Amino acid sequence: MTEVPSPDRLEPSQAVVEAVATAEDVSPRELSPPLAYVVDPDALDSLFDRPRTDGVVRFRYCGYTVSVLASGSVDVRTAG
Amino acid sequence: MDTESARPEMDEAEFLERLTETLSDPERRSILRVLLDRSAARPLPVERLATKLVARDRDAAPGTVTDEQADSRRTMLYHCHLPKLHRAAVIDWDRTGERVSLADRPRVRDALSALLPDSESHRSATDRKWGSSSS
Repeated sequence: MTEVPSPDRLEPSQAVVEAVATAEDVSPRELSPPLAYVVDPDALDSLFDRPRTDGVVRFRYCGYTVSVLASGSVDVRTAG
Repeated sequence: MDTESARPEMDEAEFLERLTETLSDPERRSILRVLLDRSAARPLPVERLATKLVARDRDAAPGTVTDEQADSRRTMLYHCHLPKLHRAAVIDWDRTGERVSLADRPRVRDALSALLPDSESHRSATDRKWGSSSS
């Protein structure tokens, strides 16, 4: 499991690719396909553009189950 | 089968829908402005595009942009903006060769020329100044 805290300047979509890349031990641009082919990054970011107290967005990406938490932090676990 | 090569055949309504969605984002407008302003026909390496975008933001010369700054910009170009522009059929994107160009269709260039502001970075900087100094 890899959890990447999402500082103010890091949008959830960017936190997702950073977290998955870290878990895969590759650079973010080595992940294929691009995130936009799996989930709409703009939609993901706009869901979290104001503080939320609950809720989670979960999807599969590159063999991982990715959860974006209400806090904006990202949890990545091997899918399966 | 919905392949990327089928995109040019999308109808006018779908083209406009995707175009307006893609233009709703400032980063994508900047990308298109950069591509629209190029006279060279050959595709632009994504690395160069990233450098130009960073330079545009700061009103600085591309030569002052470090590799590290351009590199971090490329991450969301690859994961968000270029896929969206490609799906909207406004750019050609060679994902493995990491090159982009404006889609070679007249209506793309015409629509963008009509819709994109000439120099958004200057305009928004001016707006900010006005916003802070006037009531």
